[in-house]
Amino acid sequence: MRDTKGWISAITHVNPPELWDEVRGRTPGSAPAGTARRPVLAAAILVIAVALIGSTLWALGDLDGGADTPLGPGEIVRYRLEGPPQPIAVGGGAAWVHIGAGTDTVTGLVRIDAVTGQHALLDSLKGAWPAVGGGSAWLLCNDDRGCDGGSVLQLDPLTGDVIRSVTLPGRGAQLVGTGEGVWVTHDGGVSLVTAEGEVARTFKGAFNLVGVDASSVWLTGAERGGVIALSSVTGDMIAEIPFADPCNMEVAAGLVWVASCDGGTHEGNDGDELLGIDAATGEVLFRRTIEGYGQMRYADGVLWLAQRDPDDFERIRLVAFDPRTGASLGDPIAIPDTGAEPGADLVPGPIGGPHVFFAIGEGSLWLTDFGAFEVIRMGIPDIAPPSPIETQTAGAPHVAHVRCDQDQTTVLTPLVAVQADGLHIQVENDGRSTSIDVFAGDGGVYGHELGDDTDVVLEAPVAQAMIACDREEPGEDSTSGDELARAVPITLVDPDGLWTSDLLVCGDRKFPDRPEFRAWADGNPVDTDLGAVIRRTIGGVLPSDVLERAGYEQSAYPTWRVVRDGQVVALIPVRKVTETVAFGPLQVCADSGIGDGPAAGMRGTPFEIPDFPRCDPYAAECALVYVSADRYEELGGRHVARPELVQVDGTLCVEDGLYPRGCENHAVATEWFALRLSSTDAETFVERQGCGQDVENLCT
Amino acid sequence: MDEVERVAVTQTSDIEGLYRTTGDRLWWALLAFTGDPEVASDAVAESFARALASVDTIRDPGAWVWKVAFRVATTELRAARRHTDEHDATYEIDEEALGVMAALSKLSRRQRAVLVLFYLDDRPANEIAELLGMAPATVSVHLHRARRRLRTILGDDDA
Repeated sequence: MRDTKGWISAITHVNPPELWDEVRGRTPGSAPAGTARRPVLAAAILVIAVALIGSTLWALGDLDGGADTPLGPGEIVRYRLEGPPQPIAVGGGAAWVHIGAGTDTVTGLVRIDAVTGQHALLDSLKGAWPAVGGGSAWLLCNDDRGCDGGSVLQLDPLTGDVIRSVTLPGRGAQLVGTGEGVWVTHDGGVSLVTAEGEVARTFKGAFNLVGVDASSVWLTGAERGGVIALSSVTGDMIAEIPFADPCNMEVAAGLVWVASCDGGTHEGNDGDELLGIDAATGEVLFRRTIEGYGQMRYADGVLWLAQRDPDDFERIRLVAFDPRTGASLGDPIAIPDTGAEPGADLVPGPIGGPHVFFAIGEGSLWLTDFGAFEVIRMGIPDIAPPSPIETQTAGAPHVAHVRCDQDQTTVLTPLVAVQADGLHIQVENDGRSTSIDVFAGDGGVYGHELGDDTDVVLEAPVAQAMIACDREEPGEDSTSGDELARAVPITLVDPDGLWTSDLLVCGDRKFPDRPEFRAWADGNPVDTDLGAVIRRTIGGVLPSDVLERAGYEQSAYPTWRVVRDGQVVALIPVRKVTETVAFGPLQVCADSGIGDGPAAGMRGTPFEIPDFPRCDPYAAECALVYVSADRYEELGGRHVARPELVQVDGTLCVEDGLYPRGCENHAVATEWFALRLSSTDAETFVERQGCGQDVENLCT
Repeated sequence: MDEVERVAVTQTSDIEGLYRTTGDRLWWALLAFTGDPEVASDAVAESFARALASVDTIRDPGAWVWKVAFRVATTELRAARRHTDEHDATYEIDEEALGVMAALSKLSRRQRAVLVLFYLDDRPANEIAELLGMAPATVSVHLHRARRRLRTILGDDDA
């Protein structure tokens, strides 16, 4: 049986070419093939030429031209520092940036005066992460930086003098400034250090990133990822949102954004994910893929992301997003490159280029250029605000007018707005119709018997709808069965104007043909992340599309809309059912409707359909789905609950929980396959189906 | 986001000796990482050429060359948008190696990098962390996930 190293070693079967001559040919004096080094000389000449031309501050930025503040939109000033800049924080009239990398460059903390542009190196301060809060500057400093264990240094905001050192309960990880002081994550959890130098509160846990909202502290899990919100007063958990590999977070304006770094996606896709969360409710507002990663900061209604250009790591760019929907706002803004890179070759960055650290404050964006030894300050660019989404409610009547004749139904108002209490219909009855029915695309039928009433209120389906008059002749059964054929479409507009029923389709499939939203277990954590499921299961949704909640607030009818380039292109209704179902992710499904004969593989041995993209619990009406721990890990717990074991006949089983016979033949409680069914449900099933029943009949 | 780390710089003039002793392993690692022998060759040649040009300022050329090579390869791969199935005819790649490369292509970039550095260059997690600019614990996570993903794709694994 081959192990990973054995597999990888197959690579060494390939004979490497002899390259030394090529190496010698590329040494200075010979132009390198392929990835040419940047023409530093040419860039320097360009700088001189630009300087001679003058008035082109925007083009390349003024190096150390500090006093020209405030900067105009997009205007750039550069501060050349003594070493490579790293984490940066801004506030209180200054920017604070840690410089240095290892022992062979100048290290310390640099204070850049935001007004004068003068900068001073405080080379005795070796800590890594600065922050501004509670009227002070702060610097996180651990024992590897010469500090006592894990500490935060409180600094005079004007001079950088150390006011005091506050020892943390553990080695520090990250910190964020607030009006009170700073919140710091460390080995022991997260603590509030006040401006008076007290560790006022500590909440235990394993956290990494930290951000603060009005009443909550937002954290990322240090071990298993995820996003966690704690009450900033009591430490009680307010929200927990699955998210794979969070490595950048920003909290501002009542919103939380979390992004991954090469972790949020998988299967060869190097893209990353950006998640938007309502800080007050914990509701996921959107989830979208992003190209490349970087630190995020919020300012003036725009979420900014600073990053290395994924297509050219030598270059830095800014990407703007609508903070509530995640929609891209304009094209990325490239930071003009001066070509200066004193640290480019001496200090090669990690894969993907050295990180761009990013802060917003003092009316500017502040970015670090590691190889150039520069802090780039840019006036906040003008970005057009997100265009409002046009709705179709204008002019829609609030009452549907329907004429019931002997043989047909006529809808006189093909577009009608649903009212808060339902769909209002005014019926012109020829006297022979006995009821009026609305047939919904979600399979529901909403009917009302017609007596003398002509005004009817029906529950409004969040789905495509057809309406039909029905009549029941004396002595006959209802004409049920014919009325659907005679039904005519009616377009419903929801009270908020967020959807119309004719748009309740996605791709080329209409809701009734999409079973994936029928099976949705109560308590499934996907409740908090349904957008991700929609993105994964609905054909036609592009990675760049933004998914957001819309429509009614009723939990039974959540509706999501798909926004593409600022326009709503589809609305997706979701039906939540209460049946207990097993669920799990993509790999192993037990449903006769999926794949080629999967049921045959269900006897004892889980089968896999690794390339079946729709093999999903929400795609299985049967909804008996295995979850592999592998897959669970890989998805970072985003879509599924932690697998649960089941108790069958006194034996703890996972894979074979439903199959006592199989249980005899397979490892008990193996970590690899689990089935999420309560033990009661499992036992009920076993009792009903008996041992060894074919699962094809499971759903009957 | 991890702070950018830097290896200690040390001086040496034996770049060619380094190439003779580690060049093949570096090339294999880059091949596994990029799936493209042309990119691997270019990155190896470019990184050693840069090392020659900067020899007076490098104290640890082994780490330096590997770091530069991966950076060059990553940049070039991104720029060229090459695909793993476009192999130059001059490279003989057997079916097994092709299968492994195809499987590796299904990993995330960092998972792939961690895996090849761990298995093809026998580097410990802390060195890989330094090379890739991430925490050692993050290396372990990537390694763990990469192994499991590969196992899913390629078959059983005793890891």
